[in-house]
Parts: sequence; structure tokens; C-alpha cells
Amino acid sequence: MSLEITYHIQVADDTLEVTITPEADDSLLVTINGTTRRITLIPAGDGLTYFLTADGIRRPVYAAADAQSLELLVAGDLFSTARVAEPGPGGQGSVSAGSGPLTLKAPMPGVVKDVLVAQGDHVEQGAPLVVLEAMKMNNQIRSPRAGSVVTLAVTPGQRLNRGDALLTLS
Amino acid sequence: MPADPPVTRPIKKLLVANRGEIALRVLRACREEGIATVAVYSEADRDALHVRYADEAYLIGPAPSSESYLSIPNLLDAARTSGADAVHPGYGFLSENAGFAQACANAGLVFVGPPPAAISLLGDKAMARRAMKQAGIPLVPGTDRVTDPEAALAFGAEAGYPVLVKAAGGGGGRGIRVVATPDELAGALQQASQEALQAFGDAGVYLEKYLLPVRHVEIQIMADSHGTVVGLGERECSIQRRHQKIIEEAPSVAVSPELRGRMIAAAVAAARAADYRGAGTVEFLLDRDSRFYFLEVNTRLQVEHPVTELLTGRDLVRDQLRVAAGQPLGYTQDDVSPRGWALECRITAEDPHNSFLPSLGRVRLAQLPSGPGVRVDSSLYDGLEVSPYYDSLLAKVIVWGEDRAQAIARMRRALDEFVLLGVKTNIPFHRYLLDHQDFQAGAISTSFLEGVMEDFGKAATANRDLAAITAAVLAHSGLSPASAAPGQASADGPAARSAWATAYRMRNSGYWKV
Repeated sequence: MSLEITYHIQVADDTLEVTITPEADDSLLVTINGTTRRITLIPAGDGLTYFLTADGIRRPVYAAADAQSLELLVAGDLFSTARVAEPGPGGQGSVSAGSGPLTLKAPMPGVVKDVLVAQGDHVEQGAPLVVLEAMKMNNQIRSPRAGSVVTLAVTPGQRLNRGDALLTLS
Repeated sequence: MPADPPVTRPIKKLLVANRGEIALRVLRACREEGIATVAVYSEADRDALHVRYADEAYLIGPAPSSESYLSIPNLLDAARTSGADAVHPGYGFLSENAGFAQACANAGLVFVGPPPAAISLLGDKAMARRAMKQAGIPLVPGTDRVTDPEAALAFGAEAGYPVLVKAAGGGGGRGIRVVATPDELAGALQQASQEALQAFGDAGVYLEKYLLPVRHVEIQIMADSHGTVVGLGERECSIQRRHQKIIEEAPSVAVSPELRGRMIAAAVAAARAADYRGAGTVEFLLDRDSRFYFLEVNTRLQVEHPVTELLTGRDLVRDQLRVAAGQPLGYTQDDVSPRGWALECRITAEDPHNSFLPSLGRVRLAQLPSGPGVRVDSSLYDGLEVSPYYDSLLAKVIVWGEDRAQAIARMRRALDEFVLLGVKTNIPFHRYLLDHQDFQAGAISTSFLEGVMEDFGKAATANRDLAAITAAVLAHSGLSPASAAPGQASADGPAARSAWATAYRMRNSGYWKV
């Protein structure tokens, strides 16, 4: 008899459905995006390192938790993950599938170099909205989906912390 | 030839006017040479490796570099207080600032770099072009300083589009704009001029024809005050993102021994034309027909200098120190004997899956690669706070191999060993590039990255799925990963927390555990 449990895992902007079925030999059958793999995960004992074996290929992964998320390093790629009770709005998509107002936040601290939209403007997905200078580079913040700019929270020259609101899309 | 007879001035104590991996690099050379060392640091860098490494360290101001690493009065104060007799500027910051070199000289300090006049001449890119033209060195078709849009339009019509608008006082790839059509030109001039004023304090801009496809190939030079100028071979730095180099290698697959000889001769002529001393880099563009064009001279040690060091076996900082002290270089062109292949990857705190936006945060775990043929120049340690104030370079991984294929395999292996928790890096992008068949075949140009960015985005989901699987299995098994800070409230229970606290203390008990 097998017991199947489904977890909803948020990785970056996506929420993925991961179904786990324990096997008699202590391995797990794990299904993600329609593909099932045999998985074992063994902790190394330092609280950071784990050995992940997926379909017979073994690799180290590194994990560290903070209050909101679990950081995982897989093959040099660092992901911020979180377990969520329900899939986010729009299910397995990203924010692009969402509806309702969306507040965009500064992804890093920096100085606002340029604001490329005005309140009331309609923007398409991918449209540049704000130029934020950090680490001596100008970084364009682009629109994650189409919408109208309802409120604009920043002006050029303003210094921002990570997470400060930039603007709200309808 | 210098007018004054060379004077020997031994360096006893040296201040490094820089931070990060390059500060550490210079301090290491001083340690080997028996020179006492002085570090300087901003408030954001109190715990930095270069501060721990030096014999003495002085706070020179708050985090913004304009008030610390770019403050000439604060740096000279630190030099005076410490009794240093020499200053090494590293790269970036004040390294190509003739005013700083002159201020050091006025304060009786040896400046480890070229004379102020050479920095001024070569630092003004338009003036440098004129000097190089006179010396018979081939130039990319271009203009002197341009303010009049009509003159710019005339050049565009003659040379053909696209053209580049570049800051006359610029360098390091900043302040460059590509203009594809005549109607964009006036706007680009204005924007570039404004950017140049902000970035370099000089609104001057000039135009160049944009050659495509083209390779970026540069010659490392070293000159002493006794008339010796040596070219230490080339580095190819064609792999660039937004004009910032990402991967550098030496030699270049596109440079034959005969071409190398001609490029070195041109670089040496450029150095002589500017009465150059110390380490410098003459940058060229190399087109498909093996024609090369002078781009600019960087009057400092380059980020990618270790590539040349691994290939030639020379220590360029040691050479810089000898030359600055007035000693002869001690070798000639005939003594330069490159061997094998060297490759460098710049590891930056940027999120490759999110438009390469800077990634900031605290480093939780840093395990650096090592083993045969691998060198890592880095400022990383467990607990480092990656801040928004400085550039995003965290580490340079440099490898040596008998040939290009072995060097690439070694780099791939070294990047597999590189573990960094806490900030996102461009390592996944490097791995993708190293595996790319065009890169492996050496079929690269400065526009190489434009063609591969989209494919990289598509290839990124495999690791994401493994991360989701790991997160789910951790939740399923009740395994407790270490939490961020000792003492922080955590659902993992006291056992997991104390294990983390112990590991954290162990890793921080000695600073070489990086």
C-alpha cells in the first residue's frame, strides 16, 4: 500500500506541484511536471549539505533556511523556495496569470535613475518601467504582465531598500 | 625615453587604495616581497578579508565609494598616518586618475602605476587616438571629441551604421552607446554625454565605427624606467555582456605567432609613444581578416591579469613593484615564454535567471574550488555581506591547462566545486557557456552572448525542478536545514539551531576557512 502526498513548492515565481510516494526501500517516487523519478536525500550532517540521488545520479545540494524561505543550491544554481499550502492564484503559472492589482517591489536596494511610465499609462508585459542603479549598473525593472499604472510610488533620485514599493499595476 | 635618469627608491611599506579581491592580490605580493602592508576600508568593509590580511588597516569613510575609496584626502591621510612610502591603486576607483597619481607624488609617495602624464594622455580616449595615429598604430575609424550633432551625422554617413558613442574620459566598458540609425544619433549623443559627465566627471564623447563581428584581443605590456618595454602576449576577452568582460583566455584561437608578433610590436610602440611605465594593457579589436585596430590603453593592472600570469609564469604585481621602485624589469621580450592555455571566469553576484540583476545578501557558505591548475582570487568568506555599494565581482576562477580543451574541462570541474549559499551568482551562466559548442570551438566574437541568452533561459528548468523536489522531500522527511542566524526564531527546533550555530562558529574561527 502506498501513501501519496502532494506538496506545493514555490520556486522563484512559479508554484510547482510535487507528489511523493514512499517506497519500501526508503527511496521516494517523486512526480513533478508529469515526470516521475526515484529519489533519495541523505543529510551530510553539517546541517547544510545533502546528497540528492535522482534516477541513480548523485549530487550534493546545499540548503539553508530563513524565516520565509528555504535557499537551495543545485548545480551552482541558487533557488529561493517555500512550501505553500495552496497553489498561488492562477495555479502553476507565474504572476503573469494573476488578476487584480499587483504591487511591484524593488528587487534590490538602489537609487531610482529614471521612471519610464506615468500614472494611468497602459503597459505591456516586458515593458521597462523603472531604472534602478545598484552596483554601478543601471537595471531596468520590467513589467511582469500587462496592466495600467494605478499608483506610482517613486521619483528619480529616490533611494530605495529592497522590497520598497515601486508602483501598482491594475 | 624618460628625460630624468631613473632613481631607485626601495618600497618598505605600501598602502593599497582598493578593496575586494584585488586588494588582497596586491597585499599577497607585498607579503612575498617583504613589504609591510596597509589596508584601507569603508564602513561597509570592516570585516573584509583585505582588512584582516594587512599589517595595518585604516577606516577612510562611509560606505559610498565617493566618500571613501575615491576620497584622495582620506587616502593620503591614511598614508601619512601609517608612514607608508608607496600606494598601489588596484583597478577601478582611482587607478586611472592622473590627479591621484600626482597627489601621491606631491606627498612624496611612490605611485605604483604609470606617470601622471601617461595616465592623462591615454585616459583621454580622443587624445590617445591622436597619439596612436601619429605612432602609426591602426585605429578603428572614428572621430575626435564631438559636440556638434551635424559633425556626428557626417561621420555616421561616411563610416556607415551602426556607430558607437563613447565617453572620452571613460573606460571599463562604461558610457558606451550603440547607435543603429541616423535619427537616434542626436539623442544618443546627449544621453552619452550626460552619462559620461556623471560617471567620469567629463561630458566629452566621441564616435567610432561599430565593427561586427569582431574579437576583443588585448596585449599585456610591462615597461620599466630603463627603456625596456615587453609585451607579455595577448588575452582574448570577446565574451562580454553589456561591454563587461565575463570570460577571458590566453592565448587567442584567432592569433597566429606572426600576428602576435605584430600586435606586440604595435602595443610596445603605443607604450613608447606615451612614455609609459609599469603594467598596462593595449586593447585591440580583431576582425575576421586578422586586421587589428587600436581601441584604448588601460593604464592599470587589469581584472584579468592572472590569465597572463598563469600562461607566462610571471607575477605582474611583483613586476609592478620592481618597476615602481625604479629597478629594471629584469627580463626582455625573448625571455617571455607562454605555455599551455589559461582561462578566467568572473564570478559576480548577479541573478542569471532574472536579467542579471544584482543579488545582495549574506554569504552563508563559501567553498572555493582548488586542485591542479586552479587559482581563485576572491574576497569571499562565510558571513560576507554583499552590499550594493561596489561592483558585483565576488571571485575570479582562473585555470591553466596544457591546451584549450583541458583548460575548459578544468574550469568546468572547478565551477562544479564552487559552492556559495546566500547570494545568487552567474555560475550557472558560466557553466552553460563552457558547454556551448561554439565556445568550445573557439567560434566567438563580442556579440556571442546576444545569440545565446535566450537558449540559456530555456535550459534553466532542470535545476529548478531538482530544487522543488529537494524542498518537497525535506518537508516530507522532516529534515531540518540550518537556519539563517543563531538565536533566530525557527520552526526547526533547538537541535538544528545549535548544529548551525556550531558550524557557523567553526567556520568563522579562522579566516582562511573560505
